[in-house]
This record gives sequence, structure tokens and C-alpha cells, in this order.
Amino acid sequence: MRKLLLFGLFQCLLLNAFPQGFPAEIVIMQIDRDFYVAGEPVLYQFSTLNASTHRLSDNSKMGYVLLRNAQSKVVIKQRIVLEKGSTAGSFVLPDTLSSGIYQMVGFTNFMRNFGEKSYFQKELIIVNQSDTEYNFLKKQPPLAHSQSVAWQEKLKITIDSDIYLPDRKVKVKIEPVSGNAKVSVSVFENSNHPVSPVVPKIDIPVETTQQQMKFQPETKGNILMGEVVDETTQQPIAGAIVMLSCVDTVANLQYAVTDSKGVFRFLLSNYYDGKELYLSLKNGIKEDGWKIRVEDKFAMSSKFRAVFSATPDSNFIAKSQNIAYINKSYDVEVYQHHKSKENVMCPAPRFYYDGAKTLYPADYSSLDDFSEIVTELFPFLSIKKHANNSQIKVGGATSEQFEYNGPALFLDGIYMDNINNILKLGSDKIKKIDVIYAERVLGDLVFQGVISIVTKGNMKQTMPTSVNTLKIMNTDVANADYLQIAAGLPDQNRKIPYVRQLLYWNPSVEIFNSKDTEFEFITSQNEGNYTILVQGISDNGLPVCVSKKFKVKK
Amino acid sequence: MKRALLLLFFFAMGLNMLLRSQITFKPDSIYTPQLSGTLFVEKKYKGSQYVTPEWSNSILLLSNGDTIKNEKIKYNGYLDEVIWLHPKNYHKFMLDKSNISEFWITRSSSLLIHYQKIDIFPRKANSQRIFAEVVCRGTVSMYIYRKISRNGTNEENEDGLHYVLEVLNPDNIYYFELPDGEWIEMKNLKVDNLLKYMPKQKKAIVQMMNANHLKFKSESQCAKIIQLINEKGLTKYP
Repeated sequence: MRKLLLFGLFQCLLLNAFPQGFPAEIVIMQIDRDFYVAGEPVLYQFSTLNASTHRLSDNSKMGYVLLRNAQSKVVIKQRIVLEKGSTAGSFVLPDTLSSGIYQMVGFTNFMRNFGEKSYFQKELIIVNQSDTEYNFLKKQPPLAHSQSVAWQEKLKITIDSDIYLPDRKVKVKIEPVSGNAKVSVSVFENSNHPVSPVVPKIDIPVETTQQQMKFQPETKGNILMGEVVDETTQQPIAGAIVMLSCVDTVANLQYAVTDSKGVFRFLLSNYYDGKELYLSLKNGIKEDGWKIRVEDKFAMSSKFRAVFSATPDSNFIAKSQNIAYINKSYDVEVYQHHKSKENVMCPAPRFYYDGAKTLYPADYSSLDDFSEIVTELFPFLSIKKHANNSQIKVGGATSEQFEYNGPALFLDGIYMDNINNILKLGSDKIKKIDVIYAERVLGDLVFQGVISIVTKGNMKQTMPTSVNTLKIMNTDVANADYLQIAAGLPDQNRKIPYVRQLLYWNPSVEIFNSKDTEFEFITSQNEGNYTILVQGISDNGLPVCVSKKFKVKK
Repeated sequence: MKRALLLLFFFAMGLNMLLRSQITFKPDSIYTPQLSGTLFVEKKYKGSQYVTPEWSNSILLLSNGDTIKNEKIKYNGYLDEVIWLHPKNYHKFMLDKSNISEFWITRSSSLLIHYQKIDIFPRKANSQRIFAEVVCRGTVSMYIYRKISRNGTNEENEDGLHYVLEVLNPDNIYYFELPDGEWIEMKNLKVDNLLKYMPKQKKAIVQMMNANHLKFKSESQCAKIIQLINEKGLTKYP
């Protein structure tokens, strides 16, 4: 009885100790190298793991990668789609990056609840092509290795020699592990500095309670989060209606209502990828002092302390710069594009489908402004002027049943709460006008009708946005197309030099518990010390890693 | 000691329940999709324009894959549209047909009537997109278009007021989708109309109907026949 009670007590306390519903996640990233010349791509594998089991977690469908410099300025931002918890990806380092130590960071939206300490972080050394001083090496503070290698499961790797001639095939064999494993394999030239494999952090610093969890797991896609505040008092506004639409040939609209903390959230389907989003407040004219703010998922509050356990020597750096220069000069295709699984494009959240009366102003005699168009061509529409503000009304709708809201007004697909911005548009600028005279409903919002204007050449994009409208760019998914190292044998005729520092990269290799895993690659004309680095996680949730060194020498 | 443990146990249980009940973290709260439509002004007819005259709970599957549950709807067979009773303003709205791919209407606690938007005669010029009741889906599928048709007018006199009402009557149309993508339309259920499209299986189907004492004329027995055709693989050529 006492044992039973103790067990029950333990269970209860255990249940309360962890966030319910969604287990904490960690991100691990395997990166092809840790030293780059600006202009080269960084290849990586991004995996989300359940923090307690270390098994791949399928909760989050979105991941975030950023690269920041020693001044903590973010230079690369990527939003990536995860397929069953992981994905391969890449980004090309801009040619203009200055030499120094950079930090690569990986996280999911849900991890933001646990603080930036829980993010995956790894230091990279990047050298500008034209840098000859390498001053950043001198500034480098000495530091012991921050992440000690404590691999739970050791892999065994064999190659047939320790020294190879250039242009030779190297066969690698990885022996079975207990339980299958998924690993990334990288073969690269490195200086004498030790390779630093990435160990997943076991302990998640829980800095928040369940009740304070602000950032939802992106289980179905990209979440856009923001808040509405009073500009003067900075107090959050509860119950504000935020409208979301984007430039399109069809009127599109989604809306969200702010909660007691003034926070709103939108689930953005892939329809919004790579598009400019327009956020506005319903009844925006009336709510003049309200402002929409959108949170930046990539913003980091902690400063990056640029430290690195070991840096390459200046000879190695100069050699790397030369190789990058040769490959660029000869336009050598060291990398090739790889398309990830194509996702089905979500349809636009259309505000209406049919039932609209369409009118092309070009079919009629030219009219100077929208007021004239309405007066002359739409007998059931009327524009009423009140001081500096004008309002449009639909006469034919049975609008008396509802509180007056006016029709939903769209310009080039975007919801507009203010007709004043479009009054100057004449028939020379308008291509098409759709009007619905009946009440339209979207969720809890009822509109007196619909007026949708399509201009000649998307005028909305050039128009100034009103005070409480926010225009933001929703970046495209970065891993729809990513780089992989080009496979194949070197050109035997030697018209193009074959010098490479990265000989092999496979972000996702299966290691079995019953048979050997084999792969092969070709050495290049670049003589030097190379490392085969294999790292990943076993199906049992244990980190696995092995590295092997060899030489390429004539 | 035992009492102290017992108290501690109940305290922990209470704490557990309290914490769980206070969770404000609802991951799916932003995933609630929204219905859209146009205000529906109901006209008076003699006879019902609705296949399901009562407001019934429903499951709506939208074209973008989202699901909406527990909204009160009716299926209007005269207009072939779904009418929604708005839960807040209690007005009726005709939902955007293009936005709905399937819906289920609750008829009783255990009975759900399944409607699907289907393209009948997709290869022909008279192709039509309708909401049809799904009776049986398989190699051979059976759907019923619960159409309500206008059948003349009726003069009414109420409190000395004379007016004319259109008369509406149910006018079911049965559709069968065959394995080769061919569609059969039947106003009345006649087995010969089906068998002429499946001459090689005719004998086997008739034998199966006789063995199971099934008549094609009844909707429920017809559904059973189609189910057995699919189960026994009678659509395959011998």
C-alpha cells in the first residue's frame, strides 16, 4: 500500500514537472564543415528530437536557421519545412562577409518558450576571399572546447588506406550499431585544428511555466504572431480584429482576433510563401491610435560571444581562399541543386468565389475617378462624404438586418478598410471591378457586400499604406531547393581543375544494426589532411559519432 | 505515516488536476478554419426545399483540407446548396459551394448522412458538379442526388390574401460510377440499366441478387447489391 502510494505520488509530481501535450524539443544540426571562404555554401542537416527520448520528433513542421556575426548581427535567416522532424538544407555565404567567427543557430518556434540557451548553436569560421591579414585570428580569445564529446554510442569506421593518391576512389565502411541510426557524413580537408562534432544538449533549461508558454508548436505550418497595442499608452488591445491578405488577382482574406494580452496569431499556409502580407485593423479609421506589431522569430536577445575552440592556421586559410578562387574562376560546378519533396500548393483563402457582377471600365467612356465610376456605372453603390472621410454603401443589400459595416473592399486582392485611398483611381487605372450586392460572411464577420478592384499593374504595391496597416514580407521556404555536393568523376581531360576541400557530403545516411554501411568518394588534386566525420542519432535516441583521418598525397 | 502519505498523494493529485485545468495553451485554437458564404433569404414554397428540414450538427470538409465540426446546417436540394445557421447572429447563409468538398449531416445520434461534391459525366459537355449522398464507394460507386424539383404552382388563399406558391417535390436521381469512369444516371432504379453496362458480369450479378433475395428497386437493397458487387469483385471480367 505504501509503495503504491509512493508510486502514485511520484507519477503525479512527474506529470506536473513537464509541459503537457507537447514534449520539449531540441534541435541538432550536422554541418558539412566548420571553416568556409565567403561565397561558398554551408550544407547542413536539421533534425528536431524529443528532448527526453532523443528520437526524431514530428511535432514541429517548421524550423529556423540563422547565422550571426561576432557583433550578433544576423546575416542569414532561413525558414525551413521539416519532413518527419528533419530536413537537409543549405545557404550560400555572401561574398561580402567579413572574416571572423560566426554562429549558426537552429531552433523551432516551440523551443522559443525555453529560452535561447536551448537553441542549437555552433561556431563557424568564415574568411573573406580578399582578406590577407586574418586579424580575427589575433583577436581570438583562448577557450577550451565548450562541448565535450561524450558519445554514447561509438561507431567503427574503416578505410583501406591512410594515404591516397589524387583522383582515387575511397571506399568507406561503417560497422553496424545496436539499433539503426541516421547520420550525416562529411569528408573534408581540415587544418590541424580538431574537429568539433556537435553533441546534442541533454538538459533543456526550462525558463518558463506551462501557463506562460507563448510560442505554439508549428504542428501544421508557419505561425505569424503579433500584437495590437495602443500607440500612446503601449497597452495591449484585446478583441481587435486583424485582417490579413496579400496581392493577388483574387480577393483573399483571413482574420484573427486579439486575446486578452493583445496577441493575434495566423496560421500561414504555403499560399503565403514568398508574398508580401498586408495586416490591417478592421474599422482602422476609427481606431486611429492602435498599432499592429509583428514579432520577429529570428530576433535573439542574447549576445554572441565569438569564441572558438580551435582555429585553422594562416597557411590553410590562404590555401582555402586559393581553391575557392580557382573553382570560381573556372566556374566549376562543385555543388548541384536538389529539390526537396514538392508540397501541394494551398489554394488562396478566397473571399468569394462566384456571384459577383463584373464590370470592365474600359468598356465605357473614360471616367476620372472612382466616385464618378460609382455614380455612373453602379446604381446600387453610393459614396458618402463626411469631412475628410468617405464611405461606400451598397444599396441593394438587405443590410438593415445587420449593424452597418459597409462592404468588404479589396484592391488587387488586398482588404482595404478605407475607400479614401482609391478615390483617385479613374477608369484608365482600373482593369476590372467585381461587385456582390448581398451580405457576405466570413466566420463571425458580416459585410454588406463586396467591391473588388483589380488595377492595371498592381497599383496597391506602389500605394502608401495607411497608418494602421502593416506590410511585411513572408520569406519563401529556404529548403524547397538546396545544394548538395556534385557527384561524379573528375574530368579526365583535365580541362577544368578538380580541386576540392569538401569531397563528400550526405546529410542522411542509414546505419543498420545487422549489416555494414558502405559509401565511396573520389579524392581530388588538392593534397592535404582530410577527415571523415560521421555523426547523428541512433534509433534508440543515443548520439553516435566517429571520425577518421586520411591523407591525399602524390 | 500511511495517513501522511495518503494526504500527500491527494494533495499531489489535486495539484495535478488544478494545473491541468488551468492550461491556457491550446495549440489548435488558431487552426480553427472559418466558413464563408452569402446571406440566404428564404423564399416560401409549397413543400420543403430542404432534404434535411431540421438544423442538424455537421462535419464539413473544406476544399483546402480543413474540417469544421458542429455547425448547424441544412442541405437545400432545390438549390443544391448548404445553408448554415450562424451561431452568433442566427442568420442563414448559403455556404460557398466551391469551398466545400464533403459534408456529413447528423440525422440521429448514430446516423450520419454523407454528401460529397461530385462531377457527374466529367468527360461530357453536360458535366455537372453536385452534392450527392454517398451510398456506397468502391470499384462501383453509388450516389443519390437528393434533388428537389419544382412541380407546377399552387394557388393559396390565407386570411383573404391570394397568392401563388411554387410546388416542390423530391426528385431523386441515382448515379453509378463504373470502374472505367463511365457514369450511369437513373431516375428510377432498374437493374437492366446497370447490367447493360456490365454485360460480361450480368449472369454473376443476377445470380448473386437471387441468392441474397435482393431487389434492385429498393434504395437500401440496391446499396447492398453494389456493396456485394464490390466485395465479390464482380466488376472484373471473368
